[in-house]
Amino acid sequence: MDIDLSKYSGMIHLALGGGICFFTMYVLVSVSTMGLRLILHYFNSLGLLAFTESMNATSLFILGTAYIPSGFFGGLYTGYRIKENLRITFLFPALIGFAGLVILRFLSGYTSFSILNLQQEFLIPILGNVVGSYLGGYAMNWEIEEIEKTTGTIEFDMSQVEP
Amino acid sequence: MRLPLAVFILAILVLSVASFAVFNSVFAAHVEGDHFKLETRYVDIDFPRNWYAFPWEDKNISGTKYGILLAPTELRASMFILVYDQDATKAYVEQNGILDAPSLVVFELERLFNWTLEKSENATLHFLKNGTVDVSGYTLTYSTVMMEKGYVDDQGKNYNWTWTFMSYVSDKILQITYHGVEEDYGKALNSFQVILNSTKVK
Repeated sequence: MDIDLSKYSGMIHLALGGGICFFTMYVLVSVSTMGLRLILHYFNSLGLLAFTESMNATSLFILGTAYIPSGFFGGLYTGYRIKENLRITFLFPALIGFAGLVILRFLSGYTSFSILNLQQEFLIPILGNVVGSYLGGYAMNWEIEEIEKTTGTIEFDMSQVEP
Repeated sequence: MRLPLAVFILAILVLSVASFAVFNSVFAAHVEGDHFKLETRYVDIDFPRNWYAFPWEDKNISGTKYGILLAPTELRASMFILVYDQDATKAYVEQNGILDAPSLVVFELERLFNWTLEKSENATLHFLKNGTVDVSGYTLTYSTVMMEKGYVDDQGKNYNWTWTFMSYVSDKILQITYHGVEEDYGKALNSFQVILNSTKVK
């Protein structure tokens, strides 16, 4: 039985974009957390992490250095492979990557329903992934968007044309 | 440069700078010389700036336990401060047959040594010092012990392990414990004393 994979190529690329987003996020979250600790240790201030106010600072740092970049890389791949329905398309790598992260965290016991931190474990990752994915996708297709805008606005007024 | 790429780079820079601005304000609010002042619901302490500190609260039907773990980054040593509220104290005392502070120290030491024996069969317990010490207006009973060959590292090598247990039992339990492997205990001892002197139990 022959299966025509070309019919599913869009979905495959979306899934691969989501996979890139997830894998990058998995690596960058660890690297960013480690990097932040090294920076604070270098400035003789590792103890700052004990204060609840520092949680917001940590969230901002991880958002900027892990969640947005991982969405960006997922979006770059998806934007390189898919050129249609861009507004909807770039949502998928972010959602797939985020779902992967949530599943991994629940399976590894990092997160549980009893001690759920909605802001840190749901809102910030998904916000970062979605923003990053759109930025990555549109960075890859920016010229197409520009050309489409330009070509879309030029119309001939036939009444002005002399026979 | 394409606009989305520029926005991406700008977002990273802005978020990183904002993060460190928040850290800077937290630093300014809590720093006192070489120490940070940590004020919590049950305990206030000063601890060295480059120590790792982790406060937590464990609430369940038998009461609330409040704790802080403090650890230097370069030494195999750490300190725990635990405060039990009235309900948690009652549950702990009834469950473990504790009569007073010395019996609590012995109970915890026994529990620790039994746990150590599971890891290192050849460990031997030596009592080094017993007495009382005042912390934040409470008189705590303490024992310092050395578990010879009690600490086993990842390579299976044995080291001597020194522990100090302090406790106060009344309507609430206050437990303070610090420990260190080999000479790390001695190196961290001065900082442990500074933390103890600054501790204010509420």
